[in-house]
Amino acid sequence: MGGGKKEGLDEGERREVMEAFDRIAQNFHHTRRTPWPSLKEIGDCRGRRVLDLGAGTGRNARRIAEWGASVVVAADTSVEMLKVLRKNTNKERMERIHPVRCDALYLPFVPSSFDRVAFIATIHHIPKRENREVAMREVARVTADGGTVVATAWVLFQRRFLRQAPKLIMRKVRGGEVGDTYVSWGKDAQRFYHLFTLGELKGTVEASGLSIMKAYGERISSRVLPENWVVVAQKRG
Amino acid sequence: MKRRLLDILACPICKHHPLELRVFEEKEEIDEGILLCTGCGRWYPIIESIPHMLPDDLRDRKEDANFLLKWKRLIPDAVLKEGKP
Repeated sequence: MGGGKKEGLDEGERREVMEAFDRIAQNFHHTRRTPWPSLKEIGDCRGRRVLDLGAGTGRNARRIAEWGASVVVAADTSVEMLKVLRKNTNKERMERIHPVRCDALYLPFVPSSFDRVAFIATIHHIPKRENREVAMREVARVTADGGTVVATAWVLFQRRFLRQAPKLIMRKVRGGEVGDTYVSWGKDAQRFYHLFTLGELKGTVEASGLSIMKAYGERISSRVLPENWVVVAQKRG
Repeated sequence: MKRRLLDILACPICKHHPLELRVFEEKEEIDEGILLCTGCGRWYPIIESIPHMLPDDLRDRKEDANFLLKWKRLIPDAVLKEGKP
């Protein structure tokens, strides 16, 4: 892991994701304020050190701080997102929230730094399977023994992508992976998504050495098909 | 950046810890400064109180150059001459 810059680690695409989020940061905050329901799976945060990986403008980090975490590291590659986070968070909560600009594949933390990791709606923005596996191993590395990780990702076969299904499956033939797509943010940005099957998200978590406690589909606005996969895992010492 | 973050910050590439901190501007927090990795010789800027801990391939040459230029007087020679990337 680490070091090897060439195979698998596609620079262009990861940079593209970072820059797309820089462009939409201002706007993003207005529509993405409520924390994800699955955040509560992270458990008791009082006095805990928590990493919010892919923090964006802070919808989850602020809630984690409210829940009494002693340290909340809000990590994101997009510095514009982190600036908006800081601007929209009151001073008292900012005492405990630490914004850090970093990449999920190269986490700048010592092993076992965190009791809890929220890896929410983030892994689906990482291009290439190998990169996603590296990121999950990094998450496992910085999690302390007995610590909890909540990972969520967008579902491949959900209502908004059903019409695209054949195209998503054919993606592989054209050099991508099954589930790769782009979702636009108005006219401002095209954001990369890799849509997951539940088996794939579970597989990525298991390959990192974390033990899965719970895995399910979460419905947000749909009545039938879930939009998010949620995996709750633990690091066993 | 608050000082106590240093307890858990490591180099994203070689994972060396602790990182050496030089402060250029500090009010309630460290507003501007630099984090030095004595393991691999990389450096990471703190800009507007946010530490930028990106791997080489996501860094921006122009931003890096501007930062070094701005704080030239306060940055150790070793970084200016041999600092990576």
